[in-house]
Amino acid sequence: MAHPKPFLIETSPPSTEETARLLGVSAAELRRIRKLVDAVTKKNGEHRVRGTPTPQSRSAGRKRGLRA
Amino acid sequence: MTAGPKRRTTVFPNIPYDAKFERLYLAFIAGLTGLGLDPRCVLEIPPQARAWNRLDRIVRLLRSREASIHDLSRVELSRKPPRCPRFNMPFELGLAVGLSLSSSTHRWFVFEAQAHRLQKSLSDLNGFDPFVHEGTPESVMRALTNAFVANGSLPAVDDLMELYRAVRKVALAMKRRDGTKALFGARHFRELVVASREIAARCFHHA
Repeated sequence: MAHPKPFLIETSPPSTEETARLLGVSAAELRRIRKLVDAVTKKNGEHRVRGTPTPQSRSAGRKRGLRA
Repeated sequence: MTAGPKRRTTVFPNIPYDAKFERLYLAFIAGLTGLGLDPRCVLEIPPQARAWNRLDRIVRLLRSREASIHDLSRVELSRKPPRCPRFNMPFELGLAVGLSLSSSTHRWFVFEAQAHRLQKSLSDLNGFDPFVHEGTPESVMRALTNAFVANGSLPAVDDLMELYRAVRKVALAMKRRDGTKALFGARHFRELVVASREIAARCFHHA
């Protein structure tokens, strides 16, 4: 058996506003969602820069290393 | 059968919507939005919709999506009598296959929790390899990054897992806010997708 051919997608994703519009989310709802995201992410510090290992990914890497 | 690059790709995740599947429900939302896709699903159809109207809307949803994901991992019998398996997802997969055969632009992907089980549960699909997610969010991410590729760079599995963990926190906050245990309504689905897109935009510097 073979995996189906992968689906080729665009690398630049839509903006949050575009997604909200597509789903029928109002501007007021979007503000509320952003507030919720702020509240959740601020508790855990600033977003890391892509590629910087998180404690979880470091731990996963160590586990993978141990298994190898 | 592969669609060309597009600015926006909408995907129909045909997955179980219940508490037992919640981690994977959030993983699919985080994974799809993290890859820049727009998930739209059957939760957007009001439960009170009349039978034919509901079927019609499912077909329309499928027809207007470039791709669909069909998770066939829920093959067991229900706990409550009369005990029976759920046929909705295989049925919707059949609709998607029919659609792709007739239109050739729709792409469908089968996901399963266990390797080789599909050969027994749906032997008509022998020869089509499902993406096996082993019931874990990380495997869902791995499967999604195998199903959807790009010419440029896409977030890696570790990035998607980071996004998933953030989306889980948002989901918990939503539950607390609304005093509910379940997030399988249209409003919560929309909020989770938008929240996940927002976090992805901040994390992956896509905004």
